[in-house]
Amino acid sequence: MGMMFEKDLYNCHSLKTFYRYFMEIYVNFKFAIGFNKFVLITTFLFSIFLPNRFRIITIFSLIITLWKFYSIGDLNGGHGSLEQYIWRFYFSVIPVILIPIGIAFAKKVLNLETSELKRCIAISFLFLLMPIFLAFGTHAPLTFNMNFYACFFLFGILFFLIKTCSNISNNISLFLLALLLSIGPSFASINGRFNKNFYSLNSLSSSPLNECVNEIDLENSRIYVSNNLKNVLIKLKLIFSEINLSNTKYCLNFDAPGWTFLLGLPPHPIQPWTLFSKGNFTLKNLDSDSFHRSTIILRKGGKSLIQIQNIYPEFENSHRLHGEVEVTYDDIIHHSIQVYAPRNESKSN
Amino acid sequence: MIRANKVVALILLILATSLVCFEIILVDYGFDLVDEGWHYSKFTYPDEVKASVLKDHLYSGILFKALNYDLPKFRLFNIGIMILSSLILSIGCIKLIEIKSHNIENKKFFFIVIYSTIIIFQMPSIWCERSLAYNQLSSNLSQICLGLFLISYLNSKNSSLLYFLTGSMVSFLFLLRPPSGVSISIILIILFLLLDRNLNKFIFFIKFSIIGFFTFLFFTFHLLKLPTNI
Repeated sequence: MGMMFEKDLYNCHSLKTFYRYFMEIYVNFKFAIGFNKFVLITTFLFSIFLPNRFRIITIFSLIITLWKFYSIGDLNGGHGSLEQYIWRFYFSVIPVILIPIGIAFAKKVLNLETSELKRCIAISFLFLLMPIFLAFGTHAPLTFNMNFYACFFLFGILFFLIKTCSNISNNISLFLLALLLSIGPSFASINGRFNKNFYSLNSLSSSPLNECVNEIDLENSRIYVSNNLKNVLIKLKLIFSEINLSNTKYCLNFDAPGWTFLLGLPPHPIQPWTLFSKGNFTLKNLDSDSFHRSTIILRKGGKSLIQIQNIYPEFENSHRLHGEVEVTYDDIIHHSIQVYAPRNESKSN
Repeated sequence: MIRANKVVALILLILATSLVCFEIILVDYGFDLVDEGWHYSKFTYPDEVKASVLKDHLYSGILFKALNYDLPKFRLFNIGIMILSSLILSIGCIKLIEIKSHNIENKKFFFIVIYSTIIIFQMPSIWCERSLAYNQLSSNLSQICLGLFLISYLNSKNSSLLYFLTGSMVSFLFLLRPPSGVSISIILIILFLLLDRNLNKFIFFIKFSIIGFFTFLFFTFHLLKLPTNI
């Protein structure tokens, strides 16, 4: 059933996916070089005239590159930065390191047997490309998923440096380069956690750390969430307490499946993001009995209601609107969440 | 110079440790209503997952149940696995550097640099996904596969067992995220051919990896039970 689901998606994998991946890499790499062009030109000129000083030139170029990408916010962490922009910094490191070392080889400052050099370069590039290959297959931005494999990229750079620069492994310059390379992701991690919102596609759960001060009890643990999220959860719990859940089967939740977990209800068995599916895959593959015995959480005015009405025109007869919760930000209503329950499962009935 | 190297290595170690500690302190803060919520629902009711080729609900479901559905502990476990897989990769990376290589004067501090930077570069992924779902598992298993392969390549005594484990981990990765499983298999073969063109050694590697691969598939489909059935 998994592959059927894939075929039914609007963003089903095809040649277009490869094109999207290529464009993501291309634009980020293009920016990484274009934005840093003055640093690269200066590095090139210094390397031409001072090929023996390739280590110092690399370190200084890397410091300036780090500063430049920090100044435009690529290393700030959080949405945007960690979804895409941090890779512009990572990509910019490649020419910063390749130019001085390449010139040092051209001017015979560095020497390595040709076959050994080719092998080292091939292994380094294999490591540099690993994040792209391993992140393949994602529906999310490729650069977002490449974060899961970023350590291979780092090792590709370090391996290239260690193997091409003789005795660099005992030299302070390699240690300093490793430290400089680490500043970007370290700052992105710390700043992303403390000053940016938590990762979520739902604005209600994408709140900063300082707003997560409200405790909520889960089955065997407790977590801290924002005031808005806690308020909505309390109201949802109140609505569900009025429903006789003993005969209901699932909680169909098409927009924010996390509510199902927080409410301790069984999720429906297909996929929650029915809106990505052009043929209502979720609803078509859910048997009629399960649908009619399930509670439903919907975003008011969203497309999910239209999709349900297309597959189950009698939906209004089989389910009753049990309650509605307004989601507010700064006392302004952002949207409403509706809870539907099978008509015969109301405690009052 | 050696003293300066030690100082930088220690700075990197402190940086990596601090990042991990911050993340550990914050395990009970925040909750993602979309991806994370969906993952926890899957792991709580793994037998309800019927429309996925991925098997993360099976393994993480067992783990989540073993941790008594404690969400912060589950997030903590994710960080723990990341640290462990980074360690395996770091050992493998050191082995790779040592091939036909110059002697590293202070190996201990050199290892600290490699291990710390690998952890630091993996930290942004924890911001992206805090639950041990397919992306995090795939990330950790890729590191373990590559680390085990590099260790086994240079370990002539127990290489058959390590190749077997590498094959098992590749199989695990196939079940969790098939595209990454395909990619890591191709990467390992290319890496082997770049390191050594000895046909006998290659056949030996392929043989034990395939045995490991199918053993893990057999274990998953015939022996492993859904957590609700345990």
